[in-house]
Amino acid sequence: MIQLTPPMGWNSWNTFGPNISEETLKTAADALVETGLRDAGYIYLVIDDCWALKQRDENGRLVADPVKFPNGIKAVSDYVHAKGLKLGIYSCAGTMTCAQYPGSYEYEFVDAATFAEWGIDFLKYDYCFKPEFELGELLYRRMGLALANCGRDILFSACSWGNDDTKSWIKTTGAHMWRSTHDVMDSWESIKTRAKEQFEIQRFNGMGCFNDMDMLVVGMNGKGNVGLSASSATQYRTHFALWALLGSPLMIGCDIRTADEETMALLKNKELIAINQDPAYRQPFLLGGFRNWKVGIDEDHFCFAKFLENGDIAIGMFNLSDSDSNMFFHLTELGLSRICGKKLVMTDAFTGEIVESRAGQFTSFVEKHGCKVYRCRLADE
Amino acid sequence: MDCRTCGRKLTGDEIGIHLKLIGRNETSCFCKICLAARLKCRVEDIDRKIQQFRDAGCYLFP
Repeated sequence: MIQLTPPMGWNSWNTFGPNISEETLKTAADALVETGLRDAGYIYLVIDDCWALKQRDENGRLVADPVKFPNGIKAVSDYVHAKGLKLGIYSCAGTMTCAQYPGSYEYEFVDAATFAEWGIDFLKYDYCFKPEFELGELLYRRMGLALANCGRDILFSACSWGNDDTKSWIKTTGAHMWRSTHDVMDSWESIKTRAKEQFEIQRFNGMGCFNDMDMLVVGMNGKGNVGLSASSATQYRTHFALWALLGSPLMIGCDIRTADEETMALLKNKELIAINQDPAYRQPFLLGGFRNWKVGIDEDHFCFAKFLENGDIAIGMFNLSDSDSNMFFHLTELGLSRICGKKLVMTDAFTGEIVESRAGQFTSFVEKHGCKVYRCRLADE
Repeated sequence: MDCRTCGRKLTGDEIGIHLKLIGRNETSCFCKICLAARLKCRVEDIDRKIQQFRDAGCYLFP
């Protein structure tokens, strides 16, 4: 299968961790539909670790825990599919998963066949307990081949955290998305760190195999499996805007059954989703004085731009510092010299307000931990 | 292993939670006090996460 835009959906891990069940997942599926998230594009519902029994059956096949899934995984996939959603599941390239359930190491073709039989549409494939003597790229290629030959379209979500130089080989494996960062937690420091880790590896991003910045913590408010110090509404907006603009898959992690209106409004922001899902999927680039910014230097102010399919430009101005700032960029950084005679007509992705560039530049107040994101149309001066 | 900031000798749990919250590639770690300061959370939050991840079967906390 070919995936032309970053996948969107919901994953059980950030909120529920090991505490998953058929009932939990069915109510999550209901919520995806009833809240409008499915219609906004979030179509994958992914069961993360801890769904299986700790022993394979006599035929070497994975078995769903009958306490958590009394009717098996197939019943969940039937339910999810009837809702117009797709079902994802989790395994691991190593001998065990991170929570020490059976991994798919040397069972790749058996497990791919099992997943196909169950109607699985998405496989998250982790990296714990990888034998030291094995190359990760070979294990991911093996599962890539197993999935491509299992008789069913199953999106391959590699989760090697960027380890072992993943960026240099992941496109050889058949993976449609690849975890390019370490795990995210629900804290501002974690969000900032995960975002900054992307800057040097944006050039490895591309249509068909997307840099995955990890699941969203928007709306978690310190609760759940990866809840830590929580984040503010402003920080969650910046988090979502960064993930959207940098082209990451958007996998919701909060409990969507109880998420508040502000969280829902953010997750369904049409402008940000359109930027993330733009058909051209062009590489974002840093603007202006931040061109030479590198990870490791304490620089918390940056602007990213991305050319969109219809000729518009998405521009994000990010202030990760602890102080409010005025930020600016020059249109020349977009390739628009003054002689071009063009200005930007800019629609704020959050408020809908329309503003314009002046005299070849644009300046905006950006609150601490905040951002401004615009969809910009070129117009004559 | 000693804390990369304060030099205090680290427990296995402190190494585990550093790897879990910062990254599994790390070759030096913070103690839980310095880690809490780095992540701007409470030490109690770090302790809570250690127990939570242990209960979930995470291999970093045998």
